[in-house]
Amino acid sequence: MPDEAATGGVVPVPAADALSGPAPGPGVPRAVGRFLRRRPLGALGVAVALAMLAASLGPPEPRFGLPNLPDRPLGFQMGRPFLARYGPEDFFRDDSGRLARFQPPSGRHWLGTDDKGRDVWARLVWGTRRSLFFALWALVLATVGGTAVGLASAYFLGWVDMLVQRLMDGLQSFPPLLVLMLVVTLTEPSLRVLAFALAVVALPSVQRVVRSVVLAVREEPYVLAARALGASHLRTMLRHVLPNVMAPVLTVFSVGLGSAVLAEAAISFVDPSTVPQSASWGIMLAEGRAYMFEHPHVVLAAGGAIAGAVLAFNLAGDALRDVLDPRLRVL
Amino acid sequence: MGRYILARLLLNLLVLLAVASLVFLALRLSPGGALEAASQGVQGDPEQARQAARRSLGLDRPLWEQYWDYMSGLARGELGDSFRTRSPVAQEIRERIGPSFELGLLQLAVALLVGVPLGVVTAVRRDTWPDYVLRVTAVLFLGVPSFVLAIFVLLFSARYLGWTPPITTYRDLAPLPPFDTPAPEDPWLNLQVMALPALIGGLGTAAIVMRFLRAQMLEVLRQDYVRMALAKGLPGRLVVLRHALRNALLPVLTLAGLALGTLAAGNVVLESIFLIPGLGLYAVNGVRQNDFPVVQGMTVLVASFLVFVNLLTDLAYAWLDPRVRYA
Repeated sequence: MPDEAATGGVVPVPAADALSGPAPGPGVPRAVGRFLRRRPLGALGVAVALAMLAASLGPPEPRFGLPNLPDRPLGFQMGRPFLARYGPEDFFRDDSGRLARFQPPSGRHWLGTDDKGRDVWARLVWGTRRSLFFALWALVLATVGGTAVGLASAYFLGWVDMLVQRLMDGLQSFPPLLVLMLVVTLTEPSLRVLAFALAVVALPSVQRVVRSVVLAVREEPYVLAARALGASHLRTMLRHVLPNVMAPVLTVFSVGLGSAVLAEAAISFVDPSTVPQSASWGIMLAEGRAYMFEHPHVVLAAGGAIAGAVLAFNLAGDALRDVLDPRLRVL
Repeated sequence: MGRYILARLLLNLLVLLAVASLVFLALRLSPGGALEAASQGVQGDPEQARQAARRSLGLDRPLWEQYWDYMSGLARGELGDSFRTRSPVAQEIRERIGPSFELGLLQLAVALLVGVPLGVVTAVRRDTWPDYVLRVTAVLFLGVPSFVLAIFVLLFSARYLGWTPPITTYRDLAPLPPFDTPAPEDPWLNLQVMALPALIGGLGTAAIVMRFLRAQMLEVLRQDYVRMALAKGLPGRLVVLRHALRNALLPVLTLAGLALGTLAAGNVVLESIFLIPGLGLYAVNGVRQNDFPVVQGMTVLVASFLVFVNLLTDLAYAWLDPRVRYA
């Protein structure tokens, strides 16, 4: 793990780094095996997360641009997901030519159709792409930002820490859902903006975890030793302090993914008209609610997807925390 | 201690000032939506309608003048008039705070009444069947979002029990008991409306409380003073309740504090599903309709509630645990 933390042109590993943990070696497959046996629920969570990733992938198309959600999450356009046979807005007609509304599950429509004759399974799969990449982008931004802020704040302490922490208090005293909705209303509704806003909202809790670890680590003799050897502040932070926070950060990241999926679904559910319209679990749930007593299959599918995804990320995060950092085993 | 409280109070005021200013500025940066909403349905030239709306909403005045009005209003406890209904926001909030607080407090009560006993039981009966079952259940409750759970419960109860809370469907707004009075007029009806959302929201928190308390109890039960108490022949129940639980409960206080702090925000999701006219829905509608005074008022209210409850939590912590000292 220390190797991942290294950035830029890096010189031979200083002796002090030997203290920050064993290097990943040939024991990795065995560790995976042990994880499977000792943490079956966690492994299930990881499996569901991987399945979601698989469901959201589609054939890459040679159209490039800034990352955009939901269909250009990595900078190139992704086509129809491999697991979806139809587009999210394709609607169908039955044999007599009428709109095929509320069809029961069949070979053609695995989860039936909704009130507009669209395939529920296909919309679910398209929604997976939106949920997953939205959560990934929001969490990557929040984690990178939160780690930087928490690291600097705790490393320098003094007035820097005071100022930064009060700023974070202020940030946290905004009601989160309200902020997200406000951002969407005040700007053009776009998932990119929403992901960015969620990252800002989530940043304080990430930096708090990082800060608490760094507060302890900065007092370690090896940090002092690194400084005494003439390492700059930046180098000390990146090479000697940062590796210690990787375990808690990874845990926060994986549990946070669940919360981000939840946040996207909740906003789309509460106010479907303000968020960008594409196939989304939250929107499906909101739309399905209108006719849920007569045709419950849409809410069941969408609700099941949301609950399953959040549960999976929580389980994976729990297991990761236990394996990576037993000290944090509180919640 | 007095100095500490004073310093925190001043800091809280600064934070609130920042929050209030930030939301003011953010809203003024893009007044388009508000003008759109206000000029809708006006006959004639749309540009003229927008100008008229700008004037009537007071958005044409210089920014510093609006800011001064807003800030001096806040100092007097006034939150301005809603753009849409033209009635004072403070008054509207007062009418809607009741249901939100009722729901929030009921949720907290459920969380503590369920979470604390289960936390103790799972810790004392560690690694037995009840422990496993309860822990897995808790994980399930943590994973299933309250709005999904709410919909599933509604569906189940309507289909198989033939009972729905006194609302029909989402589409037609059923007449609700009059919540605008401080005390609900019909306690039975009130309970019917509140029971499901309180349970659904509360059980999620109960799962957190249980897991938190269990971990804490396991830690405390290992302590020497617990062994000492058992060694001198005190009955096990007494040791668990008097010696262990008392100390293990402290962190739960933080959780309860957090829950109390978000009380003023209302629960948007549950309020909208169960059609409870509380602050959460009020705020969402304010945002939706670009009703600036409503958004500002709700943000300031939620933020002030949060920072002061946080302060109270920290003080309660110090009061309960003599080891915690704030200099």
